[in-house]
Amino acid sequence: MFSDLVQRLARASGKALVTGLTRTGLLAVTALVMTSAQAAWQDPLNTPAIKTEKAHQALLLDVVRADRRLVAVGAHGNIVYSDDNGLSWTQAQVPVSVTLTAVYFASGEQGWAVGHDGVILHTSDGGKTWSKQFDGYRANDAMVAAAERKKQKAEDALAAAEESADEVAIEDAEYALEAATFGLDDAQYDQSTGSTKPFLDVWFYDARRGYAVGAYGMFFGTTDGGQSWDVASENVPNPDRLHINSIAAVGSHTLVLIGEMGLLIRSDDLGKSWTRMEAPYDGSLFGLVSEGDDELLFGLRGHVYRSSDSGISWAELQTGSEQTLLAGVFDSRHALLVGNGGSVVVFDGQLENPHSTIIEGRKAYAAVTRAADDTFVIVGEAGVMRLNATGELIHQSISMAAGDF
Amino acid sequence: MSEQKHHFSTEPEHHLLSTETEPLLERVLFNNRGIVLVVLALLTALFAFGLTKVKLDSSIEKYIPLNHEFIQNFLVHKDDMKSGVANVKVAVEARNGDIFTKEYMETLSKINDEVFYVKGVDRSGMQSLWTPNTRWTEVTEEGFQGGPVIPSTYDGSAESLEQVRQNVLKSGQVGRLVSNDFRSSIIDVPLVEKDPETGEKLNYQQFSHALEEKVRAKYGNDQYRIYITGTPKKLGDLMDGAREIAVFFLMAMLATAVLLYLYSRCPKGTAVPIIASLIAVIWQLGALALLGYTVDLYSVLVPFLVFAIGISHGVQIINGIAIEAGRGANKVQAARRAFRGLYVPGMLALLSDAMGFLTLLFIDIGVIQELAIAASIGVAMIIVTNLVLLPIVMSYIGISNAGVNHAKKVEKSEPKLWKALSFFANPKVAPIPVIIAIVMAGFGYKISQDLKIGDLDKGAPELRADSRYNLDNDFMVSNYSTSSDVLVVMVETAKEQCNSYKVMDAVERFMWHMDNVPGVQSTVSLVTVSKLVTKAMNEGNLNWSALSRNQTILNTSIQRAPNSLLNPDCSMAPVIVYLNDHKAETLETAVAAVEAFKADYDDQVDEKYYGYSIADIDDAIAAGEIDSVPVRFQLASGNAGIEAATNQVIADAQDTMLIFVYVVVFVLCFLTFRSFTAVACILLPLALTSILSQALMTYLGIGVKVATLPVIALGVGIGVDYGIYIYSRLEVMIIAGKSLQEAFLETLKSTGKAVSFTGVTLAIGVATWIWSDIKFQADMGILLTFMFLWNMLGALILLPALANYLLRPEKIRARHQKRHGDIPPAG
Repeated sequence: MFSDLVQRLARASGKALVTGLTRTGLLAVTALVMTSAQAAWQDPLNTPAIKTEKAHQALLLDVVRADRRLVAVGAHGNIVYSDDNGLSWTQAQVPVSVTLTAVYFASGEQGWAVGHDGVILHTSDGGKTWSKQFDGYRANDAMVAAAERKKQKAEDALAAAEESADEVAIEDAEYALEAATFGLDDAQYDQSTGSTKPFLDVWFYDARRGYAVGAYGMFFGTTDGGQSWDVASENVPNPDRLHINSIAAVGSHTLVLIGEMGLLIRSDDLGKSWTRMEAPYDGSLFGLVSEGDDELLFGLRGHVYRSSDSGISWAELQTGSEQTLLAGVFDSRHALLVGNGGSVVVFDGQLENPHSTIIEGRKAYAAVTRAADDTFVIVGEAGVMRLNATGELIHQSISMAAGDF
Repeated sequence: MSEQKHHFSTEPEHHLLSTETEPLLERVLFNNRGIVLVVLALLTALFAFGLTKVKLDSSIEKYIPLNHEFIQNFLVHKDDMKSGVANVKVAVEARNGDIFTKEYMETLSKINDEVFYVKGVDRSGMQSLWTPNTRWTEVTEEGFQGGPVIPSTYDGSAESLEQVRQNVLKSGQVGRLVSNDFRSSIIDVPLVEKDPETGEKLNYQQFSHALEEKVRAKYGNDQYRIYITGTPKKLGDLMDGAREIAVFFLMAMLATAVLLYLYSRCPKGTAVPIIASLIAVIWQLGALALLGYTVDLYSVLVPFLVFAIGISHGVQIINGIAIEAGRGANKVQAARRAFRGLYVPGMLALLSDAMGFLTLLFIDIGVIQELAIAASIGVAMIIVTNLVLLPIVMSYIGISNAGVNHAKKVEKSEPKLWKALSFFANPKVAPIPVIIAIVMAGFGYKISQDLKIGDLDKGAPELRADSRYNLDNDFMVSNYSTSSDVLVVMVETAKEQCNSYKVMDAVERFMWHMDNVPGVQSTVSLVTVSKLVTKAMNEGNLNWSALSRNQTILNTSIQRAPNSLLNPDCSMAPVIVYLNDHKAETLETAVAAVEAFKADYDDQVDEKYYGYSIADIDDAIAAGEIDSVPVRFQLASGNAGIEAATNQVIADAQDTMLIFVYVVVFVLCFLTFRSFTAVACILLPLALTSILSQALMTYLGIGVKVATLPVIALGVGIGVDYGIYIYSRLEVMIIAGKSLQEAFLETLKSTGKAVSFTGVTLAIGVATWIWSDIKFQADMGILLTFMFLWNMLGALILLPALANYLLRPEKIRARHQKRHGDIPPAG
């Protein structure tokens, strides 16, 4: 018993001593840090995503199929993948910690993810590890160069017009030059302040050729699998530089750009030439999905339109929901759209019998894909959820592990 | 004991006061009895006047470790972060159905108006479904649309109720103002802590009562139930709980009086110790009030201790007087002899109490330090009131015949219990208690290894789990998306920099870092607002829920951010970390995570940054004038932050305090008895009690916290009394030539009863706290009751058994012989 007391006293005094020493040590370290303060802030474009086991519950913005695998991207540079149709997820290695908005796979292995700060990431192992191909600083440089080219072109055009002495042509050329000058000013301002813009969607034709679209009409293309990215917006009729929210492929050669204020631009030659289409709605549009000849266009406040003539005429579909719809999938059996406020709209394969539900929790969902087991996997504010074919939530717990960290 | 005419000695080996001074003290006091009484009466009058100045203190500062780094950091920003602390939430629940009925809305409106006019409410900041600042917004083709959740056209019709339902869904208030199940809604009530006109501090107790009367009593019924939470309400409830203390005091006093009468069978012998102890209480409270101290929820318990300790010492004196009177001494002689025999062990015991209490000063928390001072002063008062005043009063009035006869009878009788107990001093029986004690110490030590630091219960740990407040808190936590356990980290930067991209990005990373820490539910800061607004400005498209690198967009995004998320000059933005609970592990994990992040990100922040405007700072960095945009993550505020600081202070202090309290009683005992073996006999049973009480805490799920830390000091400081009384008597008997067992039997016959009486009195004094509505007072009651009773058993059972191994009667006799010759000890 006495030894207990002694032991306790010894332990206590030892602890007090150690505490004292640690404190002194800490003070010394603190003093050291204080005198040699260095810039600790690191650009998130150069900061790898941190290890997490909560990515499946945090903000995710896109989910796609890469063969049988599901890959989702979201906030904090989180990329997660699942090989069991969305029940369990593993975190991928990502060299940035910016918010990623979209992901696309050209094959089971080759994939690209884009996001804020103009970042473009690439994977060649089916989404397990990612490397950075492009970022907003380089995008700014490229956009300044493009704006300079455009301005030069406008100046040349003006010179030519003045030579021809065609009043109308001169006026047009002056107007174009003015716009090009503004464009250059903006690009230079962004470049100087390091103000970057987010990419909002990405699409690849094959493992080499693809496009990334984003805010303020940002439109980049690559023909070498992303080794180099160039401004590709020259032929895109988007003079007001509206946000391009989405790029969608219809059939084998048609691409559609969908954006704010009813922006709808179509190319039937994989992006060589673009035509501004008459949109059925002048609010923001968020996406387009197609199956065969049927196209389904959706946007702000529950607006959904259908076209069967390559986007020439549109008919509004009643969904019973007034919530903004952000993403969808469409196959021969179902079309399913998700959006804000937990809103889910399901149609049958003929785009009939719309059925509107609200997922409990009323969180916003930003993307949906159909897994190999026919369930719908949706992602958004609350992370990952799974829905059955009628759009009802499947109550089955979803787990997550940090990958090879 | 025979009386020596020319030379007195009290206890066999007392060195605190030499044999020469001792009779002087007795002579001075007893030869001037009248003067002494008058002086004491005057003092009592003075302190009684002091009683009128006693104030109950409701300030929160005293309960937190003000000098801890976390609190110091918080105090720097105290004015910026006022909102949130003084805030009450009133939830109104519809028992049948949901809130979207005409009746519910009407009731809510009435309650809203009622609360509006309660004194202390910050009317402009109030928020509920009925206040105009609760709005819905929606993104449409034309931009934002919005309006109050309850529109001006509301008329209670089904259509307008449906409108309200739609607006609520759009408002984002589900989980905040409206419960997740739509069965209740909240009135959020910020308070003005200081009356702007009078400068008077808001009285939380009155405020709490006003809410109870005007809201809960008036509107709570079968259909609607009212729930009220928030720190001011909690403090109000605690103040109410403190009031019952008076009732407990009366209960303890009555029980003590009955026991005292049964013990002494003398009305005078009952009344005088009680009056003397009450005088000690008056002196203690009066003295503290005159010194400018206020009474708080801890020091309100001190009068119990003072009273109980006073009684326990008084009873020793009464016992001594009765025995002397029984032997034929007159009133004065009996009182003087009792005084002579008891003032040294009494003073020693009281001094060790006081010193034990003073070790609490090591804990840097206001309430504990004031408890230490209050209790020490109280015990010092007892030395005068019960060791001096009491025998002098008794020398006038004497003990009644009934009391004398009872004492005689007791002295002659040999209760079977004493006889049985005396065998613990027998060499054949002694091993049993010693072995049992060793085994218990071993088990106790093992169990106590799991002892936790901090508060372990959910909700407001100061109040009971089934208290009205905690039930209300449970309701809030389970029906709304909030946690009541909040750790606030203050992000400091240069002026006007809190919304710069680099700072915001560091904050965002910090939040994600914390989101990944076990025990963290969610985090909120300026970044949350910025991302939300940026998303809303982009038509609610989730893709935009990120920080922009465009400063203009960032500025716009936080234009309407609540004031609580940044300070006026934008040099500090708090990150609010919601935790699952406030268990010590949760807090430690969260604090360690913050510190780890801090180590990576903290940058130098000093005055030189404050000269730069947001436009110039980048140039200044480029020019090398300053190093970078400074970011510093400072712990901590919020209830969890304060508790984390408190836990650290307690963890640091608990061992130091334990060492000191033992060192103090060791030194005092050693100075008195001049023998290591004697000290071991007295202290080892105490050590056993200390170990067992820690095991008991582990078993009962009571953590080491502000409330239980003093218990250790009190338990040891007071617990040592028994050992001192028993041992000093035992030594006298040994010197008188008795064998250990005989000596112990004699000790039991004279002081055994007084000691057991003391144990019971002290236990009664603190046991009434167990019924307190205030959880920590109840915890203290349980532990102190255990310690007082167990220390008593230790002194009665373990001490003689240890004496068997540690004491050599012939050595004690030889030493006495050497020092005092044949003079027998008094007592």
